[in-house]
Amino acid sequence: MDHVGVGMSARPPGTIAAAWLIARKDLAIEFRTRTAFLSSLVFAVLALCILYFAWDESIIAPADRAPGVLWVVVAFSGLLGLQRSFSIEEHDRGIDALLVAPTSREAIYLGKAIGNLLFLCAVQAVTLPALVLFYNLPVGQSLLGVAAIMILATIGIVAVGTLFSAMAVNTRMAELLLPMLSLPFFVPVLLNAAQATTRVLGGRPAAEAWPWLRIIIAFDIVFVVACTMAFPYTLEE
Amino acid sequence: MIAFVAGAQAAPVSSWGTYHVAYTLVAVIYCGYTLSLWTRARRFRRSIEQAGVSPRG
Amino acid sequence: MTAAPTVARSPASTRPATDGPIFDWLFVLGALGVIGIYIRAIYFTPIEATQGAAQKIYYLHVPAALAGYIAVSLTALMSIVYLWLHDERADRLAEAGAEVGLVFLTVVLTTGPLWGREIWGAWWAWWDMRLTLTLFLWFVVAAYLVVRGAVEDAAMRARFSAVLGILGALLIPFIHLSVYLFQARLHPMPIVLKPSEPSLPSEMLTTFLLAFVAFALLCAAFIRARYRVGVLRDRAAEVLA
Repeated sequence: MDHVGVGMSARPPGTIAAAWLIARKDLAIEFRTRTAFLSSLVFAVLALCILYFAWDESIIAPADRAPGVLWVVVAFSGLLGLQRSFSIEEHDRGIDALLVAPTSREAIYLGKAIGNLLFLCAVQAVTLPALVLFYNLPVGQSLLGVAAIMILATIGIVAVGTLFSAMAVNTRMAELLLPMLSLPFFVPVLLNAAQATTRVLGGRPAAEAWPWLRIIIAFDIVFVVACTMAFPYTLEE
Repeated sequence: MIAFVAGAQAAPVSSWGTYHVAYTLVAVIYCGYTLSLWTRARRFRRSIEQAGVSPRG
Repeated sequence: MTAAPTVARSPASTRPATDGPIFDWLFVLGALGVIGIYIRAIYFTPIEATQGAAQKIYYLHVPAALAGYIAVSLTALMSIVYLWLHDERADRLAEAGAEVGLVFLTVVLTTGPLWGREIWGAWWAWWDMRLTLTLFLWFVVAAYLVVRGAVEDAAMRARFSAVLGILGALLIPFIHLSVYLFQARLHPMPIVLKPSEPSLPSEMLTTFLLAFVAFALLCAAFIRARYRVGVLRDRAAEVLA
């Protein structure tokens, strides 16, 4: 394992520092091969294109469909990215090394979650411009609003997705179980995010998007806390 | 006053069929579940009895 | 596998293999109650003037929803109890509540569209809060049961299920809020009043209340029966191991 520079001090890193180290480790592994990143990216952009053809553009304007399409694609490309977060530990039982290390269980969860968050945000950083390109969205301030919604929503997605990824990896049917567990939990996030995005892209005042955003923020807070607390139970005792 | 829902029709005689379907379906679901429980219980009891009879388990 | 020493085996084999039937007086009571409701609703309750015979579906739909919610709440509660006390009985009860809850929620989701088609002219009404919430609850409970099926180790299964049970309980208010906001903003028609609101003719109200009792009894009986099936299953697994 790479020496990620823990430093000369004998004290183990605190929770946030440990989480950050774990996130860096995951991202380092990821960017060495870039396979999962490229797969998620290609999936997301292709899905955007395929979904374009699902509707008759003379009946429903592409710009009207864009919010719904965006959030469907974010959900499923997100699931692809989440699959890998614990499956990379399967090889050589890397999870045991993490458990033996002097970090708290919560730090492992937070580290994995932060790694996933950065991964998904990187994929979305390409997905959003692709959406603008293919669906003829106006480039302007509204896109900043959409980006903000994406980050907030991704926090919620990653919070539950990381936990369920940890659970699913212990079962025989991990690839099927992760979507089945996660998607019901994504519903409040996706519903509110899509509605908020519609308002923002439609040029409506920010106050109209706020009721939807409020729920996403509440979801993020509740589930980051709940999943952090629940994570130790998903590890073998 | 029974509240009207927008779009409610005057009493359609055709709704007789639907209500029979619904009642039958619910009965089928409950009977099916009862059967499922009973079958599972019987299967487990059998394996316990068989294992109990032969000490090698 | 060589046989374990028979001393270790004997407790399981000398225990009576059957602890009695899984269906007892409670089940008989519940079943009779539901049959009674059927008879009462079909023959002795008047047809509602505006909605026709289809309104009678309501006597099955709403009580099943309530029973289903109670069963699922039991699962959530037992999940907390399990994580706190690590008592396998709590886990078994949670499992029973989830499975029975799924059955009752299925009843809600099948009778709902049948009734809705007659009343509203549409198979599914996304703005009907109860129906939509029940749908998502169904998915969460189904996921709970799938997780239970997918994890082989009993202790891990119990822990995972308990976590899922609690997180699922946390999720429901968010779904409720989101769907409420959705239908309030986009479908500003008044939230559907239950067409059988308090000012029901007394026969309908009585049928309704009796239906609640009957379905609640049946639900409790099913949970007890499912719990016993769980006991038998665990004993069978232990004896075969």
